[in-house]
Amino acid sequence: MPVLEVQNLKMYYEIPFRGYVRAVDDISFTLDKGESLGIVGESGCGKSSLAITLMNLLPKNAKVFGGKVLLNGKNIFEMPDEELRREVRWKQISMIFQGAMNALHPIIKVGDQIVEAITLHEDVSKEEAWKRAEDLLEMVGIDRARAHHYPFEFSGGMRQRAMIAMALALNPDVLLADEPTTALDVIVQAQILKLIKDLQKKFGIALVLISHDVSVIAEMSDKVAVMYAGMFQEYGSAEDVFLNPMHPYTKGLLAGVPSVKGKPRRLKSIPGAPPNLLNPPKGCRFHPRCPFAIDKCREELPPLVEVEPGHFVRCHRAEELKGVPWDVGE
Amino acid sequence: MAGSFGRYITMRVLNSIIVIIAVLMITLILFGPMVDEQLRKQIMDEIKKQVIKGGKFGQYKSAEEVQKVIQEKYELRIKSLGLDKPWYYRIWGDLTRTLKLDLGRSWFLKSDSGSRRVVDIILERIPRTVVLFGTSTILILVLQLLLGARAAAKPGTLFDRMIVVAGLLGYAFATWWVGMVLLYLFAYLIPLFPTGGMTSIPPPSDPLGYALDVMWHLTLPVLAILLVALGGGAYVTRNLMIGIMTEDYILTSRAKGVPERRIIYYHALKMAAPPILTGVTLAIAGIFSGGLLTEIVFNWPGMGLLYWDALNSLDIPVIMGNVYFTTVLIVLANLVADILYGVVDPRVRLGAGVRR
Repeated sequence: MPVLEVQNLKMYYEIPFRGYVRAVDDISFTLDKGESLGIVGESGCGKSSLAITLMNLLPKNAKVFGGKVLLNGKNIFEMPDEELRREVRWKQISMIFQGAMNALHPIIKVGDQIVEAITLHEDVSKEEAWKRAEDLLEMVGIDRARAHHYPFEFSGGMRQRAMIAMALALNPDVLLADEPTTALDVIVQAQILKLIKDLQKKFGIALVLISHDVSVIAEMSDKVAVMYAGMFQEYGSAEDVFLNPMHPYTKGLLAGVPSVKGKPRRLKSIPGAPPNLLNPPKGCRFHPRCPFAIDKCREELPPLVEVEPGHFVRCHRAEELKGVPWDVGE
Repeated sequence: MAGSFGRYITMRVLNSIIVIIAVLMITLILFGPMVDEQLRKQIMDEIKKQVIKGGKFGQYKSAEEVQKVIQEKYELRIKSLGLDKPWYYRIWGDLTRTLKLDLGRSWFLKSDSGSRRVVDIILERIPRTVVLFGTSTILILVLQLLLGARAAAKPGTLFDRMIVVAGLLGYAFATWWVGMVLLYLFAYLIPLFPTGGMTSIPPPSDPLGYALDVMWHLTLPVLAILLVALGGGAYVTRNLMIGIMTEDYILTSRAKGVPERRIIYYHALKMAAPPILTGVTLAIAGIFSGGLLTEIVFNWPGMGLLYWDALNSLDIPVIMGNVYFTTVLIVLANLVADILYGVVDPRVRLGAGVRR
C-alpha cells in the first residue's frame, strides 16, 4: 500500500460574487515509502496550495471540491478534526515551509518549539522531550546548547535546519518540503538539500518536494510532476520527464536551465505569465503561451494520458511533437 | 545575556531620570517668575505688619521714615533670600530642593490631616489616584487581550463585529461624559452606587469594610474609564492578532497539530503582547490627564481633583508639586512597562536588531 495516495484532488478558493480560483485541479499521484516526488512549476500555479491541501490546512475561503488524500489508506478529509490534529498532523505528515525566516515562532525558544511538537503527540516527560529535541538538533548539525536560543539568534540556514529537525521529530511517514531552500544562498541551499536527502533515505520517508527550481527537483526526486495552472501537465520518473520531456511547458522550463556539461546555448524563457485561475483559459490551460498550440488546444482540455508506461502527459500533440525542442515552436 | 538586559534596564532608568529633571526645569521656568512675585508680596506684607504692629508708633518721626524702614528691611530680606537676582540664578537651588521633595508650603490648600506642606498634601493623594488608575489600567490590559484575541479567533462573527463597533464607539465618547451618564443612571435613577467620593462618610473602621467601601465607590469611575478605553484597546488587539494569525509560524503551529485555543492564546498572543504593551505605555499619560476630569466628575479626592482645586485657588506651589509628582508617576509607569516589554519580548532583552 502506498504511503500517500492522492486521487483527483480538487481544491478551489472561493471569491465572493466572482467565482472560484481553481488552484488545485484534478491532481492524482501515489508515493511509496522512501520515494520522493518533485513538483515543479512557476509561481502562482498552485504548488503551495497543493501542499496545504495535502495536510488539510486550508484557509476559510478554500474548499475541497472532490478527490481524496489517502494517508496510510485513510482519507484525511473524512477524519474528525481531533483525529486529524492528534494522529495525522506532524505524526504522519509533517512540513518544511517556504519562508525559512518566518516559519519558526520568533520569540519561543527553538528547543521549546520542538518539544511542543513532541509532547503534543507523544506521552513523554518534558525532560525526555528536551533531550530528544537536542538530539534532533545535533542530527541536523546544530550544537545542542543552541536549543536554548531563539530563532532570531539563528542564521537563515540554521533556522531551516532547525525546521527540518522539528519536521522529523515524530518520524513522519511523509515530509512535505515547500520551497525549502528559497531565500538561502546556493552553498547553504546545497547543504540543506543534501541534509534532507540523507535523512529521507535514512528514515525511509516519502518526500514531496515543491520548488520552482528545475535543478533542485532534478537532483532530489525519483518522480517528477510538472504543474501548471493548478494541474499536472506531465508526470513520470525523473529520467522520463527531464530526459524525454513530452509537454511543451516542460520543454519550455528546461530550455531556461543552463547545462553544465552540454555545449553552451542561449537560455530561453517562456513568454507571458501563468493565467488567472479565476477564469482559466478554455481548452488546454497552457495554450495561450504554447508555440505549438492548434485549434483543438483552444477548445478542448486534453486529458492526462499515459504515453509511455508510468509517463503521463496532458497534451493533444504529445505524440507528434516527440523530440521536438522548444525553440522550434518559437 | 543577563548583562545586556541589565544594560537595557540601566539605560531606561537613566532616561527616566533625564525626563524627570527636564520636566522639572520646564515647570520651574514657567512658574518661577510668578512664584517670585508672590513671595515678594508676602514678604512685604509681613514686614509692614511687623513694623507697624511691632514697634511703638511714635518711634518714627514721619510716614516717610516708616516707609523707609520698611523698604530697608524688605531689601535686606530679599537680598538674604537671593530674590534680588533674577529667578534663573536660583534654579539650581530650586531644582535640588524639589528633588529632595522639599516643595515648600502651600498658599491656600491644606491636606486632610491639616498640614500645609505641599509634600504632605500630594503624598496623601497619590495612593488614591494609583488605586483608581492602576485598577483601570490593569483591567483594560487584561480584558483587551482576552476580548481582542477572542474576536480575532473568528473574524466576521457577531462577537467580532461587536468588538469593532464598541471600539469605535467608545473612542468617540469622553470619559467625563460617560461618567456623568453613569452617575445619572446608577446613582440617581437607580441608586446602586454612591454619587462620588472615595469612601462613605464616615468611612467604615474595620479594614475589610473599608476595602469593600472603596471598591463600591470605585465601581462607577472604573466603569466609565473602561467603557471609553476598553473597546479601542480590544479593537487594536484584534487587528494585531488577525495580522499575526496569517503569519507562517502560525501555519507551522497548525501543521504541528497545536490545538486552536493554544495557537490563539499562546502562540499568537505572545507575539501581540509587546506592541499592546507599547500601546498601554502610551495610553498611561492619556489616562492620567483624562483622570483629571474623571476625578472631578466622581469627586474622587486624588491628584486630578487636587489640580482642579489648586488651579481654582491659584495655589502655585501645589500646582508645581503636582506637576512634578504626576511626571514622576508617568515616567515610573513607563519604566515598568519598558521593563515588562523586555520580559515579554526576548528580542528587546537580548538586543536583537541592534547591529554591532
